[in-house]
Amino acid sequence: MTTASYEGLPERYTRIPEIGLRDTPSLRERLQRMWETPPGIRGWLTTVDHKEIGLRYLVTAFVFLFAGGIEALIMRIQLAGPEQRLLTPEQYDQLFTMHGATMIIWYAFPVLSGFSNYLWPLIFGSRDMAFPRLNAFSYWVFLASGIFLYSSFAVAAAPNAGWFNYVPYASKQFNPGINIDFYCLANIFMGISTTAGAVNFIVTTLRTRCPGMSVNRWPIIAWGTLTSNAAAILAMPVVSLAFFLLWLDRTFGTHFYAPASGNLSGHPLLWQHLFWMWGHPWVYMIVLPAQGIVSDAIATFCRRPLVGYTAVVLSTVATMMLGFGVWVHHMFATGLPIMSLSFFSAATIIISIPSGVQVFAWIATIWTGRPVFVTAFLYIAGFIFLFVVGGVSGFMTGVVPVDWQLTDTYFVVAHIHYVLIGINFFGVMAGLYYWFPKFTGRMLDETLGQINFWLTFIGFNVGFFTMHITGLLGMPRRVYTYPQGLGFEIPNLITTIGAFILAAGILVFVYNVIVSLRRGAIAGPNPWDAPTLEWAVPSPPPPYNFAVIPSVASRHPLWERRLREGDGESVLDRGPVLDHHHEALGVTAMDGEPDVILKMPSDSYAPFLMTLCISAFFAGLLVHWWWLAGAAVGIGIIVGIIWLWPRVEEGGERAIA
Amino acid sequence: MSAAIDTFNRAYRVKPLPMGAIGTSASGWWGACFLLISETSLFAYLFFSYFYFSIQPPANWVPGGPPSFFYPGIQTGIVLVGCATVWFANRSIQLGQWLFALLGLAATWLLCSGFIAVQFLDWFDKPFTFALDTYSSEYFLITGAHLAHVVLGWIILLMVLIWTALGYFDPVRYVPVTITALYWYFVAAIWIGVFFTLTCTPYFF
Repeated sequence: MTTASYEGLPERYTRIPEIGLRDTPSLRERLQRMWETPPGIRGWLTTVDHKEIGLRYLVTAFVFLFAGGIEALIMRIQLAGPEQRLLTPEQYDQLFTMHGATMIIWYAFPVLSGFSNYLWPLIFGSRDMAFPRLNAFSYWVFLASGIFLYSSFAVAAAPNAGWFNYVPYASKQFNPGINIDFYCLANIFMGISTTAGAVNFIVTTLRTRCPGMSVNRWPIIAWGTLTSNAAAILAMPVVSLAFFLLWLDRTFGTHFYAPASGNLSGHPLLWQHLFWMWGHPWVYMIVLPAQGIVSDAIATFCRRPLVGYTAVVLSTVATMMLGFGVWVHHMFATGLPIMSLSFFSAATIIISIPSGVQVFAWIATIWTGRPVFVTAFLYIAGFIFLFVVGGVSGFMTGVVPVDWQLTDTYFVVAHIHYVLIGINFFGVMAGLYYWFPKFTGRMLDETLGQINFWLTFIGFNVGFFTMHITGLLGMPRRVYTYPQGLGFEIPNLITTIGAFILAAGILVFVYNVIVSLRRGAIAGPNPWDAPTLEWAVPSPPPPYNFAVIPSVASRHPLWERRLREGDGESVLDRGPVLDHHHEALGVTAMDGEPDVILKMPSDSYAPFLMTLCISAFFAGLLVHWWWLAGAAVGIGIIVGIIWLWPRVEEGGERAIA
Repeated sequence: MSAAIDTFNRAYRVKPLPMGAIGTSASGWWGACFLLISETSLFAYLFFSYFYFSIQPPANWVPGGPPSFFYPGIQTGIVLVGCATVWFANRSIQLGQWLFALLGLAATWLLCSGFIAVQFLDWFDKPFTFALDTYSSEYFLITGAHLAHVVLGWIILLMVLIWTALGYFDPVRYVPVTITALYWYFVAAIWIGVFFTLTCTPYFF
């Protein structure tokens, strides 16, 4: 859309943006007063600052990472030797289910949302996300759904059917406790957060950027996150539906998965279809933004632009699209027609092409660059190595006859950990070492960082490479112990040792964060001499991010004098001041031309109150207090109406002439 | 230096920019579009779950034979007429015809109420209940999911009707009316899918 269509608007609805200079102290003071969140509990509950919300996402996701990690370590103690009785079978079931669910759903995606939330407006040269209150809402719902899930431990009824929760094992008949109800409702609950966040990321990417930030200039993390959130809005409904149907089966005796006496009965395999139609896209959704982190950071640490920007972007999108067509490779052993297996096997194998393009782009960047061997770079290099190993084992299990041998063995467990720890966690660690100075204004300690990296890298490979062998020896996953004499003792002991080394590495990281927050070297705006816009503002950035909206002329605004790329020069030191109330610039989706001055909302209790209503709703459904669920819906509607009420200062209600 | 001025001036040729929520440049419009894409995919998965069972033997899995066209036919009429009235409301507010906009919204809201009533009549008319067998579970699930969206539309229509009556909107600030219209088109389109799936396809297989 061009601005031409706005011609003829009454004057009170238009303005020529005032141009100002970035380094004007009075402007900065004015913006600071306008945008900062008041201190205290009120500010804490009402803030819509994307930086605050981003950090909360990161910290909360790491708390879930620690919880899931502790669950894993308890299991590893149990499996360190044969015939151990530290845990009962039921406790073991609950631990591996909670470990998987926590890591995959409550850690891996939210941690990436944390990065994206913090960085989005900064890399795009904007003041805030498109929907600041929705942003706060998606965080609160993420937190509340996690608390909801973990409250199951308090009643000793944590989910116990594995993170993919197959029926009929998860049906009422075979699993009568409240365990699975917790899991069903917690997942639907979390789906609200993911969907709300996804809509926010998509609209933010398309609308609130600075002029000149056309699609071919976005950092790769923007592409990774946009792609994965576009997938989220298409894939989240199916998992919410799958869990909702299971909850209906369990609560009202419907017949979606459960057998019926009528002329056609429910079908357990429907669960697997619905679950994996979400489950496999999800796997790519939790790695693509991390691959984006690596693609952006690798340019900084190799002192040159990423090789093959366009190829990497296209591979990102292609991986996601193919990711929607591979779900049956989780179901090779269920007796589906061979035609179907062949199709899904081929689709799975084809994914190695876009993945390979990315790997070669990274290798070429290192090869032709001048790598700086800081901790962040080590994590990037580790990421690439683990991606290749995990990719190869994924390729192997994509081949039907091999999969038939490996299904439900530890080989599959090794594969999923190589891809999830390798391509998510190592990318996240690279991102934390890279952006920690931006978040806090201080550098993470390098010596501790090196110790941290080598402990996690060695511990991880010792523990999980061995798991491949455990699987090839035939040890099934999800057994609470194993008998002596089958050859499982040594590999299991090695895996346990590796797991504890990995955990020690993560503890070193935590120590590093605590120490560096107090005593780390002062970072300054751009400690890595990085090329993108977030490094053009102070560390940590002021609440309004940019005193004047920059305009960019290339992909690397801070490197363009050296690279001589782009048409013209980026202008960072002057631009629109947008200082009437909370304002941001809206641009056209493709070209990034200024389109509209958006009026942004201020701090609000509504997101927090809405989350309380939703929590009460799910609690009511869990314990069958229908009156509570009904009351929560009623109050939630009122909160929603208050939230959306049109306001003059937000540009919703007409301005009186 | 001249290049720098070019970049900057290209972005900010001295021209006024509109402020706030204006037509389809409003963030709310974009957010609503993507949210509705997500809701549409929810119904795609619902239909998948229905056809997953209906294409498997035995044929004619509907208890009592293929369903009657009576109530679903009325509902189809209601959503289509509602598309016209809500379009009229949106057009009127754009032209500044406040009273016509109010009438259009009120008419759509009444049609919405009628749709909800007819859906309940159809439900009470069915000889089976939610938990009888897989068909009955699917039937109530899909019509129930659609009805939940219609009830949400009923609340949205009511609020936008009130806001319009309070005089909040004018020919520039009216995007909530446009979003309401979009929502109704969505509900109507999904209804056509529900109608085709639940009422028409049992006659074929």
